[in-house]
Amino acid sequence: MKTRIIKEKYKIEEIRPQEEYNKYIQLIKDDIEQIFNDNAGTFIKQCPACGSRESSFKFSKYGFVYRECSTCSTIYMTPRPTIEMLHNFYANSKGVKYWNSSYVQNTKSRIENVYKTRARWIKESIEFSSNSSNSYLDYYPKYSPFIEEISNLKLFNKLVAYKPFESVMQAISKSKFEIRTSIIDEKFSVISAFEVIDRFFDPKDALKTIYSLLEDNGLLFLSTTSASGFDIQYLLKNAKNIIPPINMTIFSIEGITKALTEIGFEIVEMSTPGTLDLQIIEKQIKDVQLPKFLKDIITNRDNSVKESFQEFLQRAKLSSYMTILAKKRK
Amino acid sequence: MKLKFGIIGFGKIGQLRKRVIEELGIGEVIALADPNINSFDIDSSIELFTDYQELIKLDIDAVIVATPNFITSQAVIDSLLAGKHVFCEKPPGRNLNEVKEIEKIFSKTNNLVLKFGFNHREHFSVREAKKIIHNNVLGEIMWARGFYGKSGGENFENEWRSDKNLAGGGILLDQGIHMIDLLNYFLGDFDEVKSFVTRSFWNIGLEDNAFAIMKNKQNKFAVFHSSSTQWKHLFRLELFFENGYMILSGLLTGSLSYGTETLIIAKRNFSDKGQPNEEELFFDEDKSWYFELNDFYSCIVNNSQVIQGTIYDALKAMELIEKIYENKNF
Repeated sequence: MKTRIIKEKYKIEEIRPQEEYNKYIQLIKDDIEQIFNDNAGTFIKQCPACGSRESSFKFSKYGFVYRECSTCSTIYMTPRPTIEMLHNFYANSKGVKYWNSSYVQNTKSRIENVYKTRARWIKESIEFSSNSSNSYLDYYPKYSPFIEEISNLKLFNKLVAYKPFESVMQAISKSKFEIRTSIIDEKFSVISAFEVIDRFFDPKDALKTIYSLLEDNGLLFLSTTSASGFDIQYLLKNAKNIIPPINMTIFSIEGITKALTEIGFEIVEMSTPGTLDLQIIEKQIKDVQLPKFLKDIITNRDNSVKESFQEFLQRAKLSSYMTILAKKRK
Repeated sequence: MKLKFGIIGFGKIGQLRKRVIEELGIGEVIALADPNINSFDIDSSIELFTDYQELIKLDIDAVIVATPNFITSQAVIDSLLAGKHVFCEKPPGRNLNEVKEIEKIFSKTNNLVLKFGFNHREHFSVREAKKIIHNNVLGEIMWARGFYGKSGGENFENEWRSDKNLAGGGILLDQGIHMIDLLNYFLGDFDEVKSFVTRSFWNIGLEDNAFAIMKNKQNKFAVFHSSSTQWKHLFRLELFFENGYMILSGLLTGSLSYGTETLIIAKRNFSDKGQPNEEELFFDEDKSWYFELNDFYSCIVNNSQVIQGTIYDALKAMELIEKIYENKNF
């Protein structure tokens, strides 16, 4: 297995401007009030990653309760909105619509540090066998710049957007992407699922669907938030990238590993190439109870020490942004 | 289909090959030949010989040749003449003439597989770098620098490797051949060589350092250093392209003494003041021995041609080594 360390330097505000992000969060809170109407959904008794029935209360946020699996440390929402409730939420959420279509997605820093980086990761990592169809499917795409980056690569014979969000429709219409809302008898060489797997009522079921859509030796490129991540472990409900009801399952490294390998994937690469954990904690230092040792590093040490610490987090797979490349075993 | 294997030479590498054959389930080792075979504790169902000529008379499909250099080429030739498929460890002989003799015999065989053990090609860092080149991420390669060295060790002067008659060559032939093969693999075959080959420290009749600058017909250049006075073990291969670079540093070996196997990738960017953002991949396993033998097995059962570690690769590596030796100054 390989692990990726990246050393790019940028600030959290460049990819998540505070004003716009606060507006997004407020819209989501309004959505919750209007759409969920005190009905939090269905209890789940097993960890969505490893299946363990042992868990403990972790925190609650905007009226939703998160528990931590006692076996794999995945953090998951229970009760959680049913599939119907989620459909209703995503169809009507002003917050989701605002954020997915916001100009923020098109800022230079976000394009360079998020979408181009993902496209380059795919370009560097793919390896087609002689009987591969060289086809690509993006699973629930939601950001236009990424559709454009993938189109520009010209790597694939066929490009498919599976159940795309409204926010990418214009970009898709200008590209060679075909839209599918259901797939029968079609297999793909490469599937990407960026920031989507944590949003399903049953994420393991979504991973099984992806597995069934891949050719033998086909590749899954996946990104999601990691419960093993430094800033998530300390910020918990104050973590700005845990937004209920959107982020329902925050996989730990151990949890996602178990889920993928049980389905039949071989994990080729597992990385947490996040560069922002320390910046995020530093900005929210009043929201967390840090051990003195960590507080000293963050408040009293210079940038080179912080950069080394952030690199250590990546090396130890303890940053909160997780990327996985997995291969469908024959 | 399971093959019947015989192993000639049951030292460290012969034993490793036996284990890999068994773990892969590609066949059964039914015979071993080694002058010291009676000193090993071996399963009684395996036939044991002190003379490999007895082994190749058996009804076996394939032979692994893992002998000291002075036996290697003759053992390969005798095995081919006995109608066996042959996997031969590096170096393929003590000198170019010995390898040419192998080629002469092999060219007269039909449907036999001959593969040489250049296992560094199958290390994950090398496979990844080759994939990135194949996916044209960094443009045309321009030049490379390859350094490979070890410290010799306490008993170095008394090893068979340090005996000119038994080994044929010093560190250049023993370890440097891997780096020579990789430089050929990444840049193409070199035809012009400037070199220094010297004995700086060890009291042996063979070189302990070899330095070379090489050029090929495509105007690609390489700097090479092979050393047994590298007191801290080193493997480092720098590959520079029109649009960026890759550095392979460290190598996952049995001794773990070459450091973490990493691949650094960076894109050229003139605005970064010579400090580009590097991405680093590190690898936590070495499957090279498995990939090599699996490929050997596939070539036999599918009657297909060897792609990695061909007689051509062996000849090219030995030709280059011979050119470097032309400037031996001790």
